[in-house]
Amino acid sequence: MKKINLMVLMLLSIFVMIGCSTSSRITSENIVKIIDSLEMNEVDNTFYQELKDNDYRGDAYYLLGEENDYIELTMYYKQKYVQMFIDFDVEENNLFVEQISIEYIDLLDEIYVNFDTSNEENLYDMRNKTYDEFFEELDALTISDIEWILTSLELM
Amino acid sequence: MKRLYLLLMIITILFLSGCQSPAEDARMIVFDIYNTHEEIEFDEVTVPDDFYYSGFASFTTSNEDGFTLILLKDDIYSELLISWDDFDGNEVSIKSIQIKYFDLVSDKYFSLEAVEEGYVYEGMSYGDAFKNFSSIRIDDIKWIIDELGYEIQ
Repeated sequence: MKKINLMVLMLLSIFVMIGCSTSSRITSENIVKIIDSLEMNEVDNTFYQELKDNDYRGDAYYLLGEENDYIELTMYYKQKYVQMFIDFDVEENNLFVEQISIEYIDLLDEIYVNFDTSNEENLYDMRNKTYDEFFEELDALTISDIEWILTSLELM
Repeated sequence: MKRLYLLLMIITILFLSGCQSPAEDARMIVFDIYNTHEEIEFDEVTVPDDFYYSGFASFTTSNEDGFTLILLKDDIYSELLISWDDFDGNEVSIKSIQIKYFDLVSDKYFSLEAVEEGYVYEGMSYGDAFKNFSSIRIDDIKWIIDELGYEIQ
């Protein structure tokens, strides 16, 4: 009986893990698509000397936002710092992405990537996805996903 | 055996008081900084109904220009922003200080800012300042606001 319980628990854990990783991968792919469809400006991948003089302490993983207006994601863990900002626009009840910017700092390997994308004439249509749904998807993102996004965009 | 228990109790009390002191020192310093400013700007606005938040933070960034502490726990989001002029050995000159406090359940936004009047703190190196202010937690922020005579609710 114990073996069956253990098996069921293991299977459930595996399904949950697969579900989580799939959702964050889809979100990452979506973000790459959005960035690709917008114009990329001011890509800066030099590591500033002054960043070395910054001190960081603690942990952070949080999202803030205002419905249909913006989402700000901040992550800091093990000397890696990520801040992503997404600006939205609503036209005729459809949600559009107006701008995305990502700042990524790896203090150990001295990597700094900072860019923003925006295209007022060609906003990215979220195709019936609501702000609420997208917020929840972003909640599953990790620093590894941001690294995957930057690698896919050939920025690092 | 009794002596051993007594010794253990004393060690525990000393340890606990040692643990508490950095945050208590830091909140006293913040309180002092506010008190040296004649004018404190107080803003209170309502958080929009459609404000979203998720996650946690107890995070500090700091450099020679200033200090930022971000705290997000349960339903309270708070920022402590300090701008300092320069560090001269064991002396820091603080230009401005601001506390932002969001109670995300009662939808209250609260900002307390003191600017323009310099505050010189002697006997505090950059390392001390970073360590001290980093130790501040949400309860310390509440304590500071309360001691300054402002009501969060």
